[in-house]
Amino acid sequence: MSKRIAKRVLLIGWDAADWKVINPLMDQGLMPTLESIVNKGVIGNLATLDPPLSPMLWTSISTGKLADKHGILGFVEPDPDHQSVRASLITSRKVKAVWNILSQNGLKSNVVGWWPSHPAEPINGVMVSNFFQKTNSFYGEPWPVPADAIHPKELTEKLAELRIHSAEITAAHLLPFLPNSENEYVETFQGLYSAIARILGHASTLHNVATYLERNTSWDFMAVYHDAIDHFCHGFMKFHPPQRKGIPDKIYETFKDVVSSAYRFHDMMLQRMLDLAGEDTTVLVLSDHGFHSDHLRPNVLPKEPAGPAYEHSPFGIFALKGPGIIEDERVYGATLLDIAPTLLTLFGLPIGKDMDGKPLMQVFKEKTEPEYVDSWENIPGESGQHPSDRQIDPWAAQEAMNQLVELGYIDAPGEDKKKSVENTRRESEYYLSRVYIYRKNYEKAAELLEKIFAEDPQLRFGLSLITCYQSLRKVPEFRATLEKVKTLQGSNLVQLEMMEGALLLLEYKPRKALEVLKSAEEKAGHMPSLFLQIGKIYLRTQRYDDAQRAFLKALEIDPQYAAAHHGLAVSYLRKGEYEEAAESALNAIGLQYYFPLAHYHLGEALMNLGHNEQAADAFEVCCALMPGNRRAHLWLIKLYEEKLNRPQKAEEHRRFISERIKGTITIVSGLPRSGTSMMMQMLDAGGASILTDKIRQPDENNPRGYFEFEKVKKLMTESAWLEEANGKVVKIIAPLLQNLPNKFDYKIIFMRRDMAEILRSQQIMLGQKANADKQAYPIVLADAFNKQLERTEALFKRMPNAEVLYVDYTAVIENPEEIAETVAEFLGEDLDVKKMTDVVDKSLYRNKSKVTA
Amino acid sequence: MKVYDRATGKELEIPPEGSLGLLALGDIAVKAWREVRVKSGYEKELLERVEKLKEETKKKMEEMKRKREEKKENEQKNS
Repeated sequence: MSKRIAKRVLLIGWDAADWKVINPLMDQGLMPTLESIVNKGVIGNLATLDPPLSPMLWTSISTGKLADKHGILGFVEPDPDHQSVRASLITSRKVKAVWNILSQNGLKSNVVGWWPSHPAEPINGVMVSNFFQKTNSFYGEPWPVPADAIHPKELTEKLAELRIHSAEITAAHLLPFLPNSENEYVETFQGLYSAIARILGHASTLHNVATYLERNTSWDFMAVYHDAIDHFCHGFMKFHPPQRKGIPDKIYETFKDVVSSAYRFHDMMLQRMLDLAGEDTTVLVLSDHGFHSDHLRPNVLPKEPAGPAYEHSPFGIFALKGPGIIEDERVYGATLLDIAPTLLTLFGLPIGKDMDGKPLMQVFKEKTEPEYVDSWENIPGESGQHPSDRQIDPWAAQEAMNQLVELGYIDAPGEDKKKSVENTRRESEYYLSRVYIYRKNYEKAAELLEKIFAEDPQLRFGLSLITCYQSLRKVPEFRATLEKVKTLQGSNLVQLEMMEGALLLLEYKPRKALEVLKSAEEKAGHMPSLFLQIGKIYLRTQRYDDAQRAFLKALEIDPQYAAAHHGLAVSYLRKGEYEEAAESALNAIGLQYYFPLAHYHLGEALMNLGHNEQAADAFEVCCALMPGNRRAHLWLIKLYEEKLNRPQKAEEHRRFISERIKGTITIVSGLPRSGTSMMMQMLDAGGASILTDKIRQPDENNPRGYFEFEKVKKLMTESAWLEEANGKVVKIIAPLLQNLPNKFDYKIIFMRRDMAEILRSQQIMLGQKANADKQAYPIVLADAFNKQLERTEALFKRMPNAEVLYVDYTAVIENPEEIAETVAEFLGEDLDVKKMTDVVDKSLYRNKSKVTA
Repeated sequence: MKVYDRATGKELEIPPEGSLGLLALGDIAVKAWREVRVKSGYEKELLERVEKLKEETKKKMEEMKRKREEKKENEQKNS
């Protein structure tokens, strides 16, 4: 067991808390408690997961696992008898939470209000479930505690007394929330006033329980979850400053302080918790996601289950202080999944290798080596989990469900309960597919989405399916789904145009994609993702100033858009502005640590600035996050050998490449005289690395050279030489392609030309100009070549390691710039499109077909 | 039950209608506040207000029920 760092840990969860709201309040001295943690500890953004739905997220926080492993798949779930639906219960969680692991290691936990935590688990300590605070009767009437809301049951009577009923909330409590309220408004906005009282009552109830347990129990770990900030934000963020269009002055003045007062109240509660916990307690304040508080607040919410989640922003908060924790620092790259492993490390316990997160080792003052076990699930012990056949109180579940309906998170269950269960099942599968997309397991996600989109062709299912097809490069499926989506109600033109643009890019048509996206920009220039796409196309077409402008526009709309910072970094890099490039790459990494390409480009920028040591660090991180990035490994070899004098490290990376990375070879192919040499010339001019021995010299048939490699002719019997072609472009005629070994990936540019032109050109080359002039068409030969082409196409379908771009010879002659762009896009390299275009000599188009037969 | 200000150490005066600061102090402060409410007669007033609210709610529910039934009847007639 490694060293225990924390004597005890207090975790405070503030659902939806966001630095964007907190920072101005701290600047005004209005959140002094959190500010003291910020000054004495380590803070950062906590990246949320997808989908950003609280029960799924808080379960990921407590388990360190994504929802496909932990099993909570939304707000609701079918009842075991499949007659109705109910709020998600802790009995559906399939894996151990951190308090279960602590329990089986003899440590005591108090868990208050966690979502979901009903029915309370019999852990070593106290658990008060998320059903405990619900109000279902008038004040003064019997108010029973829901069955199984408290473990141990002996505490029920004591804790029940601590509940605050919304009727107990008075004008004095509401005054800080509504300092400008006028009596005439009370009647009109009774619902909003009641909502504030109810949320405040629930928050105070949980706080009372927490302070009681802090004072009256011994504990190692205490976790208190508050949903009040999220509820206040969903109800009142529309009134938060700055005043939005459409919000009348009087209403704005009345409700503009609700959200900030909610944060201040939480800061006050936090102060009490810290006072009771004592200085030697490690304190962690965090949120599961943020909440848009500025111009990114959506104007309308989609009418779909969990529609309010569109108001969530992708970064929650993280603030940690205590003995052994670094002070006044920032942590980068933390996600919700890292919390459970970090907590285990604080207690000196090993981390499950099956956890999806990592411990945040950078927060500790002393260098600590985490220990691992394969999985905590297989380690026996009194963990306090429920037995799998645990029965549930359906009434308690129904009560929680009503609240979710009131909050607008879910639709009220329809008359037809069967349909309701069916909808819930489909909804859960949709969320599961999004978890797979988050994992980048597009195959599995597509499988689920195909099923639910066929059952119920909803726009959001179709759009997610398209995302999968895009990543899987399944162009026909993408096209077919897009056509179907276009017919669906609610699909908006801009969204469809963005999809169309993405599809055109998949088809390597950057110019057309740009046209479509620019047209979308005219209609709705408020979507940062639109400018990101436009910027990426400009990068591909080497219009770096335009790319820079597009990325800056995206950042104007959303300054926390990591992908746009990264795009900006690449723009600067290509313009040779390395300091700016490094800064932008760091901005991207700061927002999203798991961004291998941002680390890669940071490495490139630092290398160009002569900071070789830091550049190597950046490339190392890139390789750790994306071990298949060959270029990063190659740069590391170069840096270690030529600049940093660490040959051993260079050797490690060399070995890794040879053993683990399949190289990619670019092949220009086609029938002889179909334009393969012309394509080689273009690639050479554009800056691609060409494999040629120049043995075959230019002649009158190919005055600019053949770009051939003698060993290619022996491909039928000998392929070892292909190692030399790794990462390069080589010309291989069509009949030889079937001899390519599987050990490489191939990008094949296949030239197509009118058969009559090919044959005429071949006849001339063979000295049969007379025949060519007579336009004698060799039918047998043409037939053989056509069959060869058919065989080649069939071969491509059998080669999963080959990606093919067909290029028409005539199109190159007629529109060289567009074809050059397409080829550059296909290869994904920064080729010089202008030079590629300039090299095309139309005067060489001499054997234009005159044969029509 | 007494509650003390953490900054000054002085005993806090608890108003019957409570305050947000008092709620933030947690369980002890809430118990003390409830004692004050009973002593000052505020609790009795609160219960009376709730009784009134119950009556109003009951009336509103009945009204809503009546309207629903009327609507249903009209729909049946029209169909």
